[in-house]
Order: sequence, then structure tokens, then C-alpha cells
Amino acid sequence: MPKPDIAIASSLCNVYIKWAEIWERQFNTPAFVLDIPGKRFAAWKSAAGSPQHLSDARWVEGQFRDLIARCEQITGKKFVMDRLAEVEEHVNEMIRLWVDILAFNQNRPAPYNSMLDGLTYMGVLNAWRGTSEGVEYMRLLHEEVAGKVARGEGRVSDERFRLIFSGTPCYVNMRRLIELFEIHGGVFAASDYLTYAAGGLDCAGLFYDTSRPLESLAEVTTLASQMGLSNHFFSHHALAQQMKDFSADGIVYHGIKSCRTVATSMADNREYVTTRHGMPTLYIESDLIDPRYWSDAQIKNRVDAFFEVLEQRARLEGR
Amino acid sequence: MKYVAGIDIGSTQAKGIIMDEHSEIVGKAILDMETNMGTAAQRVFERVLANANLSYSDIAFTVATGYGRYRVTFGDLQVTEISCHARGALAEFPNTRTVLDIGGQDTKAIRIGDSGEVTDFAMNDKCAAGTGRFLGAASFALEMPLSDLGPLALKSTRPVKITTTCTVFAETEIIGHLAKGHLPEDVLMGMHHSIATRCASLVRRVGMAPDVTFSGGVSRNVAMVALLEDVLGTPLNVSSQSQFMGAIGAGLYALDNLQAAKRSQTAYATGSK
Repeated sequence: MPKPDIAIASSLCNVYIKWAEIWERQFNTPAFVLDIPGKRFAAWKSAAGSPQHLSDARWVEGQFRDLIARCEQITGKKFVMDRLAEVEEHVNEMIRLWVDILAFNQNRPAPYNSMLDGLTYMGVLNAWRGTSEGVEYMRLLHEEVAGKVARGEGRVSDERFRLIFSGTPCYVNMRRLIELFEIHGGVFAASDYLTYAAGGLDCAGLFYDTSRPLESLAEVTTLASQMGLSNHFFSHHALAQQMKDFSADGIVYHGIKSCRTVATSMADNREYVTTRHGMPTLYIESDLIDPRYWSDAQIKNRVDAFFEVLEQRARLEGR
Repeated sequence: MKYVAGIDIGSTQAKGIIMDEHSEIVGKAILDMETNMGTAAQRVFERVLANANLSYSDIAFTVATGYGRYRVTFGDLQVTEISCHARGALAEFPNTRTVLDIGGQDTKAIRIGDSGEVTDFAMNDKCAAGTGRFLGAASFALEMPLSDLGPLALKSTRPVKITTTCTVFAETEIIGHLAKGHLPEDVLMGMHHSIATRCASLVRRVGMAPDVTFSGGVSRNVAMVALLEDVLGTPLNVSSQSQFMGAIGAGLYALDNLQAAKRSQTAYATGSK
């Protein structure tokens, strides 16, 4: 893999900042860390166009201008605004399709597992973001998933329970973690990861105004961050809605060491959905990428017990 | 008469029970775990058969539980110890709505609904502090059998606060306190208190509702019972068969399957091979 010329991180993720610091030390890679204002309190309204939003966006826009200057210095190339507009147009199209693809899983059976094949879809969305190839992929994906919905094809042949996943994958045991659920007929119809790790634009119908590319980049980035990730601390109402939209039978929280931003809210969120909505929940712990935190026997035990809880509940409800 | 078996392969002990069609226990066996779980399961099964004066062919259905449940090659179904401990507790104490099970290296808090279904559970993660292992460390450091720890701890008049959260480092701390001249009973009571507060927080995490049943090997420790009642602020049900609660629950699930088979219905509890 080629040595990076610049590492761009943001205040949304302390881990990425640490990675940037490591690259700085190892490769002398310059690091640029964006400071993106988050939600300041529980009832914070990130209304697009509000004075607070625009103030936050101007703060971010100033940093984007600094970043542009830095990239011009490193690459020796001039920044072209039209090129940014073109990239944003592609992203808009990709996100439009992504919003549909996420919603397809509201169907029964869910055509894909949001924490397995869904991760692959998102991987391409991110790696080819803003490219014509990326748009083409999303169009083909949309067609494929729509076709599965039309044919009633589910991710698992016998979808017994529909679940929501809150948290990140365990990338070093990505398939194993999900298999532990799928062997019981459990499919993750939705996950918050596919929102915040995909940029958060889908959570509020955010699209770039390509007539003002740089200003819009700052405005959308600010809103998407506040609603898609910083939102994690106050996400319980959105989750309650998702429980209805996706006909959820249970919620699985995956707390990890590597991301306090994501994991910190989980205990309270779980308490809320359990006590206020009577939704069965499971809390498991491992890590995003550190294999030392994966304990197969412990996690399998909890997952098996969770499905016994779901089955007992289903029996009482006559399902 | 048909019989069923419940086999609980835990981290420190293997337990087995055999019950008849009327859920009467006709055989019990318990032995220390060995490294080969499959062998341990086989041995405890043979031991309980001998205790019941029965043979393999007399057992119509076997449910395995505990971490080693997938190593019980002769089992018909695996059910987690969460469901089994809940079921076992309900069988003896029908008003149970919360179970606290403290085992060798596992502590579980289980919440039970009014229809006997498990509604929530919490377990210790990544760390065996607050489990029987903590008392095992005390037994080793004080060079006394586990069964003596509880009665001695109750003699304490000035408990020592144990500050370490780590079972491994607890041994060092105990030795340190003894070297300073603290009495063994005071150090022991401090250890018990440390376990009790840790377990109480697990119970509160699932939401405590009466009656609370305390099961697992540690429930045979009289000081643990007294302390937990104090910390939780509620009397605890403790069975004379608390070590077998998981195996009893497994046996009852086996009975369900036997009865379902008679009615030609599908198996009751979810399980996997």
C-alpha cells in the first residue's frame, strides 16, 4: 500500500485521530484534523439553515478552505470547484439509491443482512464515493435488492427473528459474529452503523447543493455529523421509530473498546428500549478490530440465551 | 416409567440429575471439571446413572447446559444455563422473578416474567472478579477449604476494604493485609463484600423484582447469603440443591420434550448442536 501523503481525520472519531498520529510518526505523514461541532445537549435541533447550523457550517467551511490549501501544497495541483460539484452530484445519486436500499430491508423477509452483506455494500459506497463507477454499482445493487424483494427472497431461508444492530462490526470476526445469529434464523434488518459509517447523509435526506459546492459541503457535513453520529447520545427516539419501521423483534448492542463515542450511549439506550418499549435486548462486547477482545464462548453463550428469550416470548405471543 | 437427564457442564464442576416423568429427582452427581469436557460429561452421566440405579437405555431425553454443553455428545438438545437456571429456580420457588447465580467463574442475573419466561439477563464479561473464583483466591491465600470461608467471615467485627478489582491480584492484597496483622475473618468479610456489591450491580442491571433466588455453588456460603440480603435489601431463596439448579432446569426442559414427543409436537426450547 502506498505511503499516505496526508491523513484527514475529524473530531467525530478519536480513533482516527490516533491513527493519523501513528502515520505522522511512522511515515512523516501530515495530519489534518477537522473540528466538526456536535450536538451540545439532548434537545439540540440541527435544523438546516438555522442560525446555529449556519454558524457551525461556517466554522467547518473555514477548515475545508485550509485543507484545500494544504492539499494544493502537497500535490502541486490547483483545486477545481467544478470537480467538487461533479463529485457531489455522484454522491447525491449514490445516497438516493442508498436510502432506498436501506428501506428495502423493511420488507419481510429482509433481502440482506445489514451487518454482513450490508457492510460490503457500504464498503463500496465509501471506497468509490463520488465516482461514476460508484454510481453504477449503486444502481446495479438497487436493482438486485429490489429484485429480491419482488421475489420474496430473504437473506436467510427461514427468517425467524428480525433484529436491529447498534454499534460497529467486529471486523476481525465479522462473519462469525453474524453467523451466531443467523443459525437461529436471526437477521439484522437494520443497523445504525450503515448510517453513521456511510456519512450519515441518509438519516435526514441530506443532499449537496452543487450550485454552491464548498458551502454545501460544509453545511451537509455539519448536519450529517450532528444527526448521524453525534446523535448517538440522543438516538433513542430514532431507534424507537426504527423498531416500528423494521418490525424488530429485538435489539443487539455491540459495545466496543475502540470507540467510546458509539459505546458510551448504549447502556442508557438499552434501558430505555427495554423499560419503555418492552423490547428484548442483548448487550455483547468485543472490539472493532482488536482480536484480543473477542471471546467466542462468552459471546455465543449470550447469543444462544438471547434466542431462547425470543423463542419463549414468541411462544407466549402465539407466534 | 420413563426418565430424563439434565447435564450441566460448568467451568469448575460437572453436574448431572435424572428425573422421572413426574419430575421427581431420582439421581444426582457432581464432580470437579477436567480439561476434557467430553470425558467429564461422560463421567458425570455414568455417575448419576449409577446413583439412580439406571442404565443408558432408561434415559429417554437428555438436555445439556453450561459452557460445555456442546461437548455432551450423548445429549439430545442444548439449552443455555440462563434458561436452565431460571427454570430450575422456578421449579423450587415458583414466585421467583429474579435469579442471581454465582458460579465458579460466571455470575448471572436473570429476570423472569410472570409467565415464567426469561425477559432479560446480564453476565460478568471479560473478568471473573465477583465470582466463585474470587473466593477460590481467598481459599488459596488463607490456606483453608472453601467451605470454611463463610462461617469464618461471619465472625468478622472490623471488615477490611478490599480495593483490587482483579481476582488474580486479590491474592496479593489478602497476603498484604494478613502481613499487616489484619485478622483472616476481617479480610474474608472484605472479600465477600466486594463480591456482593459487584453482583448486586448485575442484579440491578436487569431490574430486581421479588422473589429473588440465589443459586450456584457460592450460594452455599452463609456469609454470601447474609451479605447479599443486606446489600439487595431483600430475603433470598436458597435451595439445598442450589448447585444443581442448572441441571434441574435442563432436566425439566428434557421432560418438556418428552411430553411434546408424546403429543407429537415440536421441541419446546430452542437449542442447537
